[in-house]
Amino acid sequence: MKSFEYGDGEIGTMEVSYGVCNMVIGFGVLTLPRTLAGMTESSDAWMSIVLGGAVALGFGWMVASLMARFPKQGFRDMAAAVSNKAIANAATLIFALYTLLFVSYETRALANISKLYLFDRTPEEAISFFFLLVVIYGVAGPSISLLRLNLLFLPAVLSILLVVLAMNLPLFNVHNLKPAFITDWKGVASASKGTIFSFLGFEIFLFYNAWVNKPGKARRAVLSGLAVPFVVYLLVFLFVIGIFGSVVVRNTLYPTAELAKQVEIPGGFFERFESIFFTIWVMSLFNTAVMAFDVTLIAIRAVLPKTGRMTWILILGPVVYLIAMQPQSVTEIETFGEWISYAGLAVGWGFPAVLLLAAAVRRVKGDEKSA
Amino acid sequence: MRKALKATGIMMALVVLSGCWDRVEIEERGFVVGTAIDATDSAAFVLTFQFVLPSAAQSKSPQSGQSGKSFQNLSAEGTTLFKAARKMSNESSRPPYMEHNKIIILSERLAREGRIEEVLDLFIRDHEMRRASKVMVSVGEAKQMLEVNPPIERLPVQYINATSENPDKSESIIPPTTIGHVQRYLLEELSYAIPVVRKTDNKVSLSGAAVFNANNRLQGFLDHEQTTGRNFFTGTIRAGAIEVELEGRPVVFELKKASRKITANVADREHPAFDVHVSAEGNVGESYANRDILKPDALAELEKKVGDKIAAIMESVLVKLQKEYRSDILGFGNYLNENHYAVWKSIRDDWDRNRNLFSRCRVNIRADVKIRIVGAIGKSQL
Repeated sequence: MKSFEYGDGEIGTMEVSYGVCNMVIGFGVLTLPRTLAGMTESSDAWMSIVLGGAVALGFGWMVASLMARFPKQGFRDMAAAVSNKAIANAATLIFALYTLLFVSYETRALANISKLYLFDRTPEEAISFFFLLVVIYGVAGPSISLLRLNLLFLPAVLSILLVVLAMNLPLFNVHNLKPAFITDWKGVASASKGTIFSFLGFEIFLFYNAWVNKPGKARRAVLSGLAVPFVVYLLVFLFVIGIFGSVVVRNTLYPTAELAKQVEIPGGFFERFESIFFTIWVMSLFNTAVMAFDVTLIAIRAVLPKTGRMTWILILGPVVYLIAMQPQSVTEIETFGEWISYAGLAVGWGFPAVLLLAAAVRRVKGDEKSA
Repeated sequence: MRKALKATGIMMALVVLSGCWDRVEIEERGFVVGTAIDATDSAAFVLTFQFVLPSAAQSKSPQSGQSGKSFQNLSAEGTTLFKAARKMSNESSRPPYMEHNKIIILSERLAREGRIEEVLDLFIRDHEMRRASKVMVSVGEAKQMLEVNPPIERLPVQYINATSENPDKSESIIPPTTIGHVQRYLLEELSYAIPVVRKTDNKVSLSGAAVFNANNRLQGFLDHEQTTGRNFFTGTIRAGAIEVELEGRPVVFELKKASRKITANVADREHPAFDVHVSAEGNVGESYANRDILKPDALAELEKKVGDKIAAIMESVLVKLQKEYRSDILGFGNYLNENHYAVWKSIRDDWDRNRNLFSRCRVNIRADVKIRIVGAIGKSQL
């Protein structure tokens, strides 16, 4: 490895793949099996995952196409190129609002699940607060370093997940997966909505596009980044159903966490395996939150460049915290998450789709030199 | 000056940073290893925790620790278990810590009153509980089970827990049932079986099974042989010894491997008919017979006799469950669910509830036995 390799302030294909993957795998894995089992019978939701995954890959392709079409340009420049400045600014600010809410949700969800499984007495307010402080510390640095952090964290996150699954292998009962194909298509379709939600997040790379150094490979990078969560969701879902059975999954708040809790390694320390699982899982949630916050800042600064990054951090930090504290119970947090998912669908996937269409119709192409 | 200010700032940050809100020193935790729950006359519970006494448990040989017990049982009464558990904090210097709870014993009375769902809610809901805790039903008072004085293991709970892991050696213990399993039984509204623990003098025995119907009421117990039959039906039998008579003298068949296959004829969806085919393999463990079992015809006769015996054992448990307990713990309902879903959907509410179709379904049992090894000798005496 050459010493100046990382000095260029650019991200390559690998950073994009890892970033997409880490952004998508977040809180979703913990709750997705329950959402799916609630809407389908037995193990039929694998079809929903495939369906939802296909839709997500489709949108991933769109986002990547935009990235390839407008090399070295961020979302605002893309939007400005196809429409006019005012629309581009408005769209960018809406995007910023969405990612800001996303950070709030992520912070709160993390606090909630940590309180349930790890800190019985620490108030959620405190957990959120400390988490947010670390996130703010993260975004205070350059964006590039956050993207590179993914390379460090993602392998750890994926391996702990695989370890949890492997440890549960002896409890896997194939009979739980049967009977197959008994859910009507409506159930499968509505469950795939849940899957689509958990694929949200990668759209932020529209902003990171400014640093991507090989725009030609953007499609491959984004799609391979999405393939990993796709496999992970399928695997986790089948394991959770195979181990607990559909009815139990439906009635368990965080089935994947229960999977980790069930692991028993005799001999002291490791008997509480879920603590390790959560510690590492927090890394994934941290990455997701920190990237979302970072994109909020990038988006806002694209529209209002006069105010410095640090100033925005100090303004938005408390806002994130206050929003995060609004939901009063688990159900309210879930509703909050659902709203944000709808917003993400509209903003994160709707905007790029419209943008790509408009760019194709108007034959607008980004020019690398202008960037 | 600025440097000094910075330094103080950093030092003060340390105060906040090093803290852990939820810290509890390990010495301050009362480790609960087992739980027993009894019913009282006033619809309340008596909750008993078995605490480990770390200092006594540390002494190397159990003999030397004869004077001091390595456990302490504490009981508290309450209308809810949570309340009862909290009450215990009044009496114990160390508040109960449940992460290491290995077994939960329910009293027979509680089970008969159908209160198993009330009891288990806390154990699934609370984050400190583990899904892998084993659930058992005690014959008589549950509390008593935690009071045996095990000669080998240090704690009564260890003793019961280790014994429950013995289905590999015994044909009449049903596989350990965890709290996770029971949650599923409760949600699926099917009949189920849970291991039984009973106490005699200073021993416990885990042979047998407690049968619960779909409304979560304990219907009764299966004895040693019936449990063996049940294990044949569910395919959970791993080992066992079956005695048959060859020319009036006992021969023991040592079961090494068994599998079962169910097929169903659902032409009449109200009255499905099942074929259960068990294939067992094993050795001759002991023979007092005068015949040389190395001879092919003798071996074939023995195989047939063992097969008939297995079928008879299964038949007896089937009759008991169909006629007396009217609860399907043999896996027929599951089989229909998995393989004939349309039929199952239409009859599941009447299967072993309401009209109880299970009690009237026909079951055809066949057992094939293959003897692989007869041991080192043909016959023991001339």
